[in-house]
Amino acid sequence: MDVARFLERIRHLPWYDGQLRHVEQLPERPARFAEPSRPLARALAELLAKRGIEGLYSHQVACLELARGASDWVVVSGTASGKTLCYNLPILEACLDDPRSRALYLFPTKALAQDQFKGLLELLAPAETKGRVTPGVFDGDTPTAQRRRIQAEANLVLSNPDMLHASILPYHPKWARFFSDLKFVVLDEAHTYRGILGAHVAGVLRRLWRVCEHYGSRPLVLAASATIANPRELVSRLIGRDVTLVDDDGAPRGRKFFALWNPQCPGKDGLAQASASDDATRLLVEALQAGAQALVFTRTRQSAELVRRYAQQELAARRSPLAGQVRAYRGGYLPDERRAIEAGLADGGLRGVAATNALELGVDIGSLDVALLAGYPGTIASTWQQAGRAGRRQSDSLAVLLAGNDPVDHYLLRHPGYFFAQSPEHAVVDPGNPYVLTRHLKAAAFELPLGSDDIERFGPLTRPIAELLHDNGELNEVAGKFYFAGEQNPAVRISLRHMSDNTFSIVLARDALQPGTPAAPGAGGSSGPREHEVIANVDAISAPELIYPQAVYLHHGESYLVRQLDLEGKVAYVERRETDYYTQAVLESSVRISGERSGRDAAWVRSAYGEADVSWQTVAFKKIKFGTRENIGLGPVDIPSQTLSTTAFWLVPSGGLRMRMKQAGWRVGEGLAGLRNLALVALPMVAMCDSRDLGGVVDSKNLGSSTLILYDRYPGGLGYCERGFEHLDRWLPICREMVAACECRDGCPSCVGLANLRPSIHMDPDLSRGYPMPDKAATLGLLDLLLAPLPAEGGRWKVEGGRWKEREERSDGLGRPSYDAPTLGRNEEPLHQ
Amino acid sequence: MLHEEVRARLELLNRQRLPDHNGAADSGPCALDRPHAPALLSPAESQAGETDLSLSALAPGRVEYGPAGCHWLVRHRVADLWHGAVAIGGHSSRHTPCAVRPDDPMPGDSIHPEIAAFVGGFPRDVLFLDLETCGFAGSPIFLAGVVYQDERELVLEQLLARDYTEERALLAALGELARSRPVLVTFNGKSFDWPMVRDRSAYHRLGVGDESSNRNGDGHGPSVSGPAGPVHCDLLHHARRRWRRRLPNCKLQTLERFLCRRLRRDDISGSRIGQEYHYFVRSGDARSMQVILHHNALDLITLVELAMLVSKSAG
Repeated sequence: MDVARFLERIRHLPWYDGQLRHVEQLPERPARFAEPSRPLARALAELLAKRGIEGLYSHQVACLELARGASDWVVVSGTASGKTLCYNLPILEACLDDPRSRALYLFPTKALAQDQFKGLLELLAPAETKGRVTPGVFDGDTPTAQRRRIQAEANLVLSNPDMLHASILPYHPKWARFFSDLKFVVLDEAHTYRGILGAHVAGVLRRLWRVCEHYGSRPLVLAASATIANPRELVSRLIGRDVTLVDDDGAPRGRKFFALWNPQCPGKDGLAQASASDDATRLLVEALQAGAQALVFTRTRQSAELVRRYAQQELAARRSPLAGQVRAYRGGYLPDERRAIEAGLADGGLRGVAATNALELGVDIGSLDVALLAGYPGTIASTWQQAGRAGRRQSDSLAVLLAGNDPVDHYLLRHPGYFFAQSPEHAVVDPGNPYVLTRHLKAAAFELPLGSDDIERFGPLTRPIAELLHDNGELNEVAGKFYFAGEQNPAVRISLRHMSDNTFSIVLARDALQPGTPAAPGAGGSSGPREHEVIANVDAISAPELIYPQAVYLHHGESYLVRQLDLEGKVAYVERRETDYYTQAVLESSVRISGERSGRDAAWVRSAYGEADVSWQTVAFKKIKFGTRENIGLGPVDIPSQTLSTTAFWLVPSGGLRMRMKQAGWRVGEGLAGLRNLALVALPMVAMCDSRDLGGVVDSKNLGSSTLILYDRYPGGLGYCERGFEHLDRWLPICREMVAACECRDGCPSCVGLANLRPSIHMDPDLSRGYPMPDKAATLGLLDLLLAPLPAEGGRWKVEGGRWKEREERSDGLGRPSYDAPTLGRNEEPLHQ
Repeated sequence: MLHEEVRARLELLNRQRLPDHNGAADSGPCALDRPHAPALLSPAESQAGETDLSLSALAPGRVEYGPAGCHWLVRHRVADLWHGAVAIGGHSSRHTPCAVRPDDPMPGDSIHPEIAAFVGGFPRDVLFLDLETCGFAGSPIFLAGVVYQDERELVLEQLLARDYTEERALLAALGELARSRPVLVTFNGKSFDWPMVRDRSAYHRLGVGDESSNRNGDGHGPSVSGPAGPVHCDLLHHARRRWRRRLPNCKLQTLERFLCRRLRRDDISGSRIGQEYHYFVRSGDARSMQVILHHNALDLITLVELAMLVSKSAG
């Protein structure tokens, strides 16, 4: 597509009002090919030829050679650069050479495994290899009848870490032959295994290695990651041994334009991201009419449905046949629907799709002409990954980042250089987290007794943890080894992810509109056929925010009214109803400190560690008129709250500190809000987790005055905040360094208002609101006080030039910059991450 | 959620540990260059109490040695445990003290090939089996109770692993017994006992009960192979076929009560067996093992009696 011309056309549209703020051009790059040192076997070369693959890119050959030489590797390459071939080539070569060879493919989601399965079937379709290499998907959806066949026969078993953890490793004798013959383990989308999930996956992989060793195999690890700052380090830590990095991407790339877009004035009723989605819809329509294939990434499921609906309406109004070629794609769609959309994108039958980040991972949809990002996705890495969905090999492509309501988005608009210069995020994983390790050592002991060689594998905490599990009666010790002393596979009670993976079904009751039908479907009355059809699934976490009674649930652009939500049966009954409005949940959330385990008083602040209950609840809903977005009504919702019981730590500024801050003209709540944001970046460095694994609020309801509360986002906690409490001296200086060293004037995403302020997993981002960046000066002032060398009573401290200074002769001599007096008048309300 | 004491100890571990920023990143997480750690703990010492609670005192038997190690063996003559055994020596059971008349054949019922194999092979080629385990799939087997003909009389042997390490020898010995007795008789063994034997043997890399012996109850492979091949006669299915409509259910103990007219006293609940075994391994206190061995012996006797009833009513 001719992007320059397209942008020029946009500039001449009547509604264009200078929204294009910056256009960056990324030059095209020619393909670089290479030849394997030893040619591919004829059968394999023919398979490739049948798929239209004539030559191999340099990174594909590098991966092949490393695998031939029995080196573990991780490949980092762009979207649609032939990444899957990097691992499929050496695996197929080995399988064709020795049909007993087997490989385990791990994908972070079931959808990806299905996608790869389809790809493998297509690749292997030619008769000659058929029957010699058998792929099979083994996940929670695999029918029992097929499981034994896959265990016994499939060369290539496609699964996910959760399945390996709970259903394969604990029953490894059923897989004895598979493990004996296991030659490769594929770890795709490895960058998703960070933080909590990463620590768990590291535990699962160590368990995999010991089971393999038991059956006499040592599989090679072939990993693929999206662009992050430290792929080699991440994968090395995940698998417990060093890997080689392949990042010399030889795939060609056409010229790419990356534009920043400032949408028009915010939506009429101030709804989050309304304007970004509006402009994304308009750009989508224009792009489609210009002949392009385009994707819109929205931050919420509901906005994906809305963009699809509005775009379709607009195209229909223009009498364009394209109206029938637009879809939404998001979590919750049934697998078949998803497959159909993916296929439609890949073969060009679908021209436009509005998607959530469900499409961000490597589902194979080919590459498109235009990617429109409605709102900053939250991280540099995600932004590049979503933008990478646009990228033709031969011709130009366009990615547009449309700013949302958050200050972060607008900061990026004002400072485009910041975004393009920023390196993608580091992925942190801590295989030695004692809380995670305890769970996996129990699971490991169930699989095979823990012996001294497991200290090497799981690290130095193995022994003390095994001893404490022994003392607690969970392990028995016989002849120097620890055996599991329980009755049930312990893995089934250990979730690798933040919270439960329960799902709700959304069931369409077809006869729900017939007169005389009772309001509660599912009663199974005998009066005529009752056709119930599952139309979608929703994870339990977001169910109360999406499918409360009276909610309008949008699916494929159509509206359904939720008649009943059965919380116990995990079913929502909906009926098809054409409404002129949709609904938005009004959510209340709170963090309640429920018990202190330890506390410490310092001059300026009291810090404590203990238990907290984080709860959230839909209390009401708003009816929003389609199109105009008028708020046309409010209704109550009466469903119970969801609670996460976890561990937390909190900082309570002392009266003295409050007074000092007030004297300086700063609000304590502002300083704490800034500190909260900084802590979510700094604490993970000390606690070795991901920012997503922590939540934080500034709240005054618990203790009567503004308190900073940080908590672990995992039931029972994983020790992150506990470490935050124990090591204030480690991460507070990092926070201060981050603010003080930042060259911005009033705060920016890199310091007080960080890019990562995304709603937590349990908060539908639909409901998030842009809120102001916290006061930089107040934050720095607060940190200076907290880090001051033993402040004494009395007037040794004073405010000068907007920051704390000692009155006496002592001076820090660092020549720190000073800041203007802060602005006031902001609300001190709970700010939720 | 974590146990309070576990949490307290984990907190200590967690707080002591900090990320090593000096190059830990490059060497990966397992830079465990510390001197080779010793075996995790010294072997447990058994406690000598005032009354002898040891296995040899409470469940007399002998240590059985084999190429795969040793295990404990308790042996009884079936005739010493059950007077009905005298009668079945010659196939002519006078012993039908049943409330339900077990011997009216179902209309149109023909002799099932498994029953035919049992009748043809009894007693020389038959092995009755009942396992006690620490739980469901994936858990260890600690007791294999068997009944078979040895020197012209039926014996009941209980192969017991005194700790987890003896499971391997137990399975090897069981495999030896099964190899020369092609007719296996169990109750629910197609779903439970035999897959457990197969899995745990794979675990110990012994190859007992692997796919070739066709005793799997999973419906993939015939449960009856050729005339000379092994046969697995799972009485649960035969009992269901015959008595499902006349009994409240077809659990072993229900059949025992209504068909064999025995009521159990002081029996152990199946759900406690695993934890009692773990306690025995930890403490050496064999009182609960005594109860479990008794429970297992009762199950075996009922299994034998049921086999008689089933083949009689089938005939």
